[in-house]
Amino acid sequence: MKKKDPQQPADQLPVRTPVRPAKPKWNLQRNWPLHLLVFPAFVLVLIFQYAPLPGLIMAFQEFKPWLGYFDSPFIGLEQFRKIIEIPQARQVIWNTFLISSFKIVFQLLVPFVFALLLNEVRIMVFKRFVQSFVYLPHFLSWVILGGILIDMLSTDGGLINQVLTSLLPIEPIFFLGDGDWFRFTVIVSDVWKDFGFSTIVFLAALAGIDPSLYEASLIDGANRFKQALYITIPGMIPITIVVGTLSLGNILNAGFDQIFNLYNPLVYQKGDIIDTYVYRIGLLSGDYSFGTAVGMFKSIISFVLIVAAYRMAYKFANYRIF
Amino acid sequence: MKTKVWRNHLLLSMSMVLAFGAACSNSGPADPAPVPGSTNNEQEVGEGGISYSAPFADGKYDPPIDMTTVAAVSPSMTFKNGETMENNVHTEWALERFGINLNYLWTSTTQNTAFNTRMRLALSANEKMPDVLAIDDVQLANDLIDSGKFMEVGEMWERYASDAYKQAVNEDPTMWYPFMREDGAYGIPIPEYSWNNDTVLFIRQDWLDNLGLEAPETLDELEAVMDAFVTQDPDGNGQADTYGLALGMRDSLKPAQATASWVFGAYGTIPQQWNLAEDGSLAYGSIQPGAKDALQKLNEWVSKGYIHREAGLHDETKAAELFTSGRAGIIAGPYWMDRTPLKDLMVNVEGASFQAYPVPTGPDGQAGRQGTLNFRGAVLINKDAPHPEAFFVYQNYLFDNFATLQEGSEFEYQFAEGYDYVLVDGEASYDTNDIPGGRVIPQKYTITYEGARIPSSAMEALGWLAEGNEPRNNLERYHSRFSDETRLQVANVNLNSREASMPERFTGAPTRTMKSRGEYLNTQELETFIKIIYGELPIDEFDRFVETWKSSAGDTITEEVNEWYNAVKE
Repeated sequence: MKKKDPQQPADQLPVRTPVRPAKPKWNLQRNWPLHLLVFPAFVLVLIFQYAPLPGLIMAFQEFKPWLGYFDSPFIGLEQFRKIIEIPQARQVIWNTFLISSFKIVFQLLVPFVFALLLNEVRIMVFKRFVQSFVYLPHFLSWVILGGILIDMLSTDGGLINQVLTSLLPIEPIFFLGDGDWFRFTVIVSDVWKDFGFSTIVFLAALAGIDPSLYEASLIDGANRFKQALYITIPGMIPITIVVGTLSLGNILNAGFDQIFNLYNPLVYQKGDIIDTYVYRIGLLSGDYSFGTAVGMFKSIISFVLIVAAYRMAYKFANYRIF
Repeated sequence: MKTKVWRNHLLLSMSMVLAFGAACSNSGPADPAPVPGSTNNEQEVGEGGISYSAPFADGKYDPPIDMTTVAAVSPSMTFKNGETMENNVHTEWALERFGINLNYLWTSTTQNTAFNTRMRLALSANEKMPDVLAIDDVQLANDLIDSGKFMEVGEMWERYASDAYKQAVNEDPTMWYPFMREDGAYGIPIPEYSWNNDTVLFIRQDWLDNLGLEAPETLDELEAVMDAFVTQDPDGNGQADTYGLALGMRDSLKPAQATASWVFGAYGTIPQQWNLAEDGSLAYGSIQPGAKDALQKLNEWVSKGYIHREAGLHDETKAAELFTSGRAGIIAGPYWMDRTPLKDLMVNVEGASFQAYPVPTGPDGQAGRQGTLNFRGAVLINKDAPHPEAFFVYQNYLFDNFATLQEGSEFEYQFAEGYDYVLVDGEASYDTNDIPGGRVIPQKYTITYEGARIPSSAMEALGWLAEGNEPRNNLERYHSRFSDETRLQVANVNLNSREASMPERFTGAPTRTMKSRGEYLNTQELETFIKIIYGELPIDEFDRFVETWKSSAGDTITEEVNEWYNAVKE
């Protein structure tokens, strides 16, 4: 055992005081197991997130592998100009933005509502079952799901179209071959795949709401609807803001895996996103500098958006995320 | 106190991480090899200017020399008896036979292109390059050549390569083109079997027989067959659920399997590649007038329901499933499709059978199909290799003996007894059950991936056997063991339509404008073509596409491609 610190009498007090110590101290002595736990992650982040950062210099070079970082010629912002100058760039960026915006909104809305509804379910077994069941698709990869979706959405005997045409007086819908339907399909299938998983976060937030609030409201005569309106929803707002802000960082990631496995030349115009486009370019030419420039371009925009969202959350909701 | 120690530890470990990273970028251990061609080692100059950089007698270096290389380990390579890439029956053989001690600087799996990535890393980290290096990615090979670390090999080739080796490569001199520079050749192409991915048609023979149809020879006849396949219920299940043709157009108009390129070929062009024009220059296939006719035809077929409405969504595998599930009557692809995936047809559909037919001819009687390049990458030799001729000693022997399974040589049956064959009562058996420990293929351990292959030999051997002839030599005897009737029939069709083959003629690294504009043009092209095929764009949109293609960099690319072609042709 270590010797007792006279300034830490906490364990001698009979009751826990809600008052925090005035100045939280950097106390490695007491917290070292926690630091030990975080250490591997820290090293990994250092190696895989920070160590490659100097490589960003490639974005400003005409990088040649055999010349390396030091001898490759600098060409300034040429690579970035190339991004903007690609004839399809505007369309591709717009597609990316549109698809991912819808995904972000629905990935917030659907789990939010679903968590609320699930919270009202009384039968525990049913609740648990539904909860596990809806997050299962999250663990399937898009490579597999892509093949399944192509079959399910087929106009020729696909399950979805068979159901639709038998219920409604319509022609089979060409989900993956028509640009607008393609966007719709991508967004819906993405939400379907992942909303169960996001629901877990919201359910955790719900579990964290102080039960005494509900008891108090009961005494005041609030029914379940009023409870949801005045206690549950406000209680979920902070986590919603956190999740929303963090997902803004992905505004230019519209889901490479998914789109790559579902798209085809018929929907290039409305379904091609930055990542798939860069993938095809990269495959053709092995252009490192251009790839780096695109990655940097995306990161900068994401960074600006996250900072903006953080500020706004503080200003309007008076909520600090970090 | 403790805190401080901790911090020091942290700093220490961090700096160790950094130091480790730095060490990685340094070159390996210093090379103690003697100076190449130094007077001490220079032996007497034999006929044809052959000289050896180390004492050499009876086809063998004595004492043994070191030759460094690297190896790409593919998932199809298996080892037995605890052998490894660095130490196996092949490395022992090289040491025993030639006194060449193969020294692997590193090996890497080919999965997820890990080998190429490793190679690129070695290049950017300025690592020591191996003496001899086989590389099957043309772009990477060109990057390596551009690094200036490898020597001109044309001159050595002339002096050291054996006749059999020269003959194999000279079957197709265009093999050299990707590795040419102004002052000579910088890579020795690795010959591969010819006609490996060239297209043949697979047609449901039972459907033809059910409907009393003849196999089609022209596009018009093919159209009649497809019409019958769609409208006359060839599988007799009373439902109109069959298609004429399975195509996979998701990624390209000329994938290897389920390709549509032969429809273009019937009109004299192969899309999405550079073809040889009549004036001897290279011309881009997709912008030729023939492409317009082909698109019109495909559009017609889609609208008549000969082709699945989702062919634009299907990749090769999905399209093949349409055939193997018994719903499509025709699929085009390489001869090897007879086994994987088309064998599944007989499992899925009782009584089904298929046969191979040549691709049909177009209105002016010509047929065309996408071809295969006759090489798989190249061998590069390090500028500073102490014994550059050692590679020829090694490779000549393989071409002289192994490529033909030369009678009376140690490779009479295959590479090594107890590995890829075993002698049972004086007869070679290739059955994995006969071979103690199972069958492994040591030829895959060789530097050039498959030992030595003479491009025409495999398909010609199969063709000879297909005509009912007795095997004349060991190679044919070997193939006769491995080929069933279907394989021989398909191979024969494949061999007989070699006139129709149109391989990609531009084999160099992507040109400047290709890099900057190529993908834009490709995307435009695929999108426009598929939409025309689907009837979403009128056929005249093709002319507009050609205009745009030419004006937005296509013409420049054509110039660059022909510049390259003229330079390497000589």
